[in-house]
Amino acid sequence: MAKDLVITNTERQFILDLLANSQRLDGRKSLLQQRDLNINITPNRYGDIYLELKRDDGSIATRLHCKVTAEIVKPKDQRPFEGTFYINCEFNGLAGLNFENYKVGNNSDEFYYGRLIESMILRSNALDLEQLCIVAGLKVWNIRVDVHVLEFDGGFLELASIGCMTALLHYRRPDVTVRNEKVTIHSFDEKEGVKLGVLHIPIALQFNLFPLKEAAEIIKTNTSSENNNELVVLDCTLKEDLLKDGEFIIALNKNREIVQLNKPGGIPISASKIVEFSHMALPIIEETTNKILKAIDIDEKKRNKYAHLLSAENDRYVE
Amino acid sequence: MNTLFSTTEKSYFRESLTKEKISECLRSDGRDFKQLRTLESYPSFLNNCNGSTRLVSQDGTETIVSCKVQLMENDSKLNELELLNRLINIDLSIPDLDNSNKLLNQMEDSIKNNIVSQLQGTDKLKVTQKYSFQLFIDILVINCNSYPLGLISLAVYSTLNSTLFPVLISQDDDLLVEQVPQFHDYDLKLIKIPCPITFVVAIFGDDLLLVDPSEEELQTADNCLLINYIEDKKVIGPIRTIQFNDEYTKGFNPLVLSKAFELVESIGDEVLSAL
Amino acid sequence: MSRFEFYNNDGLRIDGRRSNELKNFESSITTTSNFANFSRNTSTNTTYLQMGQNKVLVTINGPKEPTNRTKIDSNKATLSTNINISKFSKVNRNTNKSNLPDKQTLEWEYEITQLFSTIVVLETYPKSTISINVTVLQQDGGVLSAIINCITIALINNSIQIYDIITAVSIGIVDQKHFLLDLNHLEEQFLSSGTIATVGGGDQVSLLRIRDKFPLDLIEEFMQVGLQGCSVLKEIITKQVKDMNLNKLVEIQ
Repeated sequence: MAKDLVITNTERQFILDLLANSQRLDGRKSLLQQRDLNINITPNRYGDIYLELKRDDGSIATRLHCKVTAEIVKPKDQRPFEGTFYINCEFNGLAGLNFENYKVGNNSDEFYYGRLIESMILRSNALDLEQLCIVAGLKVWNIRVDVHVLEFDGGFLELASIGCMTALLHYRRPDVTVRNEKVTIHSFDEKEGVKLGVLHIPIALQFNLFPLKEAAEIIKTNTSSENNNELVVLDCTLKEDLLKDGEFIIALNKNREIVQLNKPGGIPISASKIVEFSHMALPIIEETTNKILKAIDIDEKKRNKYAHLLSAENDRYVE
Repeated sequence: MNTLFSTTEKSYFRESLTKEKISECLRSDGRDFKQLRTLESYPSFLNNCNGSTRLVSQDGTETIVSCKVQLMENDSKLNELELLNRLINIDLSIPDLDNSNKLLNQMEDSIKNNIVSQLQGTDKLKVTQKYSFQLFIDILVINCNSYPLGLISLAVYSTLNSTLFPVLISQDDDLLVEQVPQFHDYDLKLIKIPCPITFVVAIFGDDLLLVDPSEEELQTADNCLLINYIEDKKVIGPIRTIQFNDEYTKGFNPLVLSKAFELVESIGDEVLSAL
Repeated sequence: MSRFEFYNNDGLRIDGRRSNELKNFESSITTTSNFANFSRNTSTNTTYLQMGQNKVLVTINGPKEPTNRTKIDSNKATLSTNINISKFSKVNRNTNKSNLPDKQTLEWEYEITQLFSTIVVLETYPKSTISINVTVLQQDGGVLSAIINCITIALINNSIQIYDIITAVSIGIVDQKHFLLDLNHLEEQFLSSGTIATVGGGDQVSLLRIRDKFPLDLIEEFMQVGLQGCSVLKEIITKQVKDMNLNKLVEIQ
């Protein structure tokens, strides 16, 4: 990611030794411990989310901004009944000096992660594109999510996937009516916005691999699945991220479905470990999903302060 | 392409080809003057194309040609030439050369014009009054080690000679009845599309002519000719010159031209029959 | 879900294979190095792999001096991959005018570069680049696995040092219970599928790529089927590479 960041050999050795003793540079006590996640929804707006990862001492490690916008476009010729969806991931000077003027190439990690989230949402039908159709073949909604990194110390993929899903869950597009092929867009003052059809909530989790031996040795000691060849670390900081030697990305939803499972090269790990970690990911992802839903729920209540006055429902809800 | 040779290397190549007596001249790869490089050919090796060829030359240059056939509705506003230009589509790609490269575009045009000029006045691509076959000829060059036009034209020739077209089973006159042509489910027939092949001939002095020059020879030749040849000992136009170096390039005696034609005519049929 | 019966009661698939049967696998090299050609230092052979109806060509350039000075790594070689999916590789010709690769191809390039960076012994070739050029001539499901297998064979044919053979297969799942090995294009289009690559036919997974919805509880079985397929494939590749090189030796003598 940050190309210009150079880690000296001593620092590299130090970090790796720490990891081998289950210690982290930022004070975390376990390799599998994640940093605290904060979801802030901007009031009075739809689909405008700030996400923060907090270190143990309360300082902010990574901050991300996700924003959804919608516009009306002509659909693709092959799919006239479906809206379009696009994610734009950007690192710029805001994230730190290392990212300034840093051109995103097609072979970069950002490109790969951006694509991963995009296909995570599209290929699993997490966002119902058919609901975005206004007039078949002529007018559909184009939903675009912009992900901006404001401060960066690792954890991009997880945060971006959480951010995108939260933003999509929260966003409301303007309502439209079609009469005699004439399309009217209603502003929010006129008619309440329409929620996007989010069918399930996939969240990505990245397992980072650090070899304990030389790569050659790992490859040669082929059959020993018992041996511990590598360390698996969750939620890497930027420096750890630069030193890792392979990764393993899983995107799951609460329904015990794998949406994406990717291990793009790097050091090989045994199949049984992959199975083990996939199962380990599920409770983590369930917890994150609940966090997202709760944040949205709280925001909803704030917005509809007077809803209970208008409602005919009996007051049975006890916090 | 564009292997860099040192001055010494170049002058060595040049010297060995500009001896007083022709019999003393030697080509760097030991070939006879009118001998082409050894070729390996694998015709029709892609089965979801209508025609295809893979041709590997001795110097490692490899080309793959595929031809796909599609049905196209004629635009009645176009005259014959415009129509043919639309029916024949060439797409050439060479690694390290981008789409706007001059050399590449020139090769594309040369192949296209050769085919179009031969098809003029024939109805070979006509299906019915309103529909024609559209050909998509995709050419991939892998491992390009010398000027590949000669090799490409051989591969295109071989492809077009083995391209199978669907057989029409509906009426061929649809001027009165609105009808989309119907084709047989699996039966295919061969339509022989005339296609000239191009010989690259390198000129050294007044006497020495080399067929299918290698990169060393291209970089040391006085000049090079692109000569089109079609069956029955016919050299056809356009004849063009092309240069690959700045140091040795100079004009040539017009008499060399007729010599080159004779040379190409003498080997042309043999080459075609080999494909 | 679809109008096809992908796995019938007799245990046969659409194309008549059994569930764990691989497509026929045939590789060959076109060598031009035995033509005496003294001034050439460019790549000399092309590896051609036919895996079912997938047809893939790989040429390897290098190790050679990098053209771009900034790319030099003084400790090891750098690897780059370039995949060219030809326009005629599918039944319907791709009418896209531009020659730019699509996003999926770029993803593959990224993954393959990462994959082979750990398998090739890069330390043996400091200050140089090795570029892998892949041309896909015909696609029939599981193209990524065909590309990976072909690159492995090409690396061996070009005598570039690797730690071990990498083999890859694609796997699909029917009705949440049957696993199909080495998919064809219909199966790939309609089924949840993934690609798995292992090192040396053992149980070390080097690349894994599932892009469709897939039940979490079946992942173990998925891996088992994949590992089996890879180890069979390793035997096939080892045998074919040996035969190929024996033939080459006979030719030279």
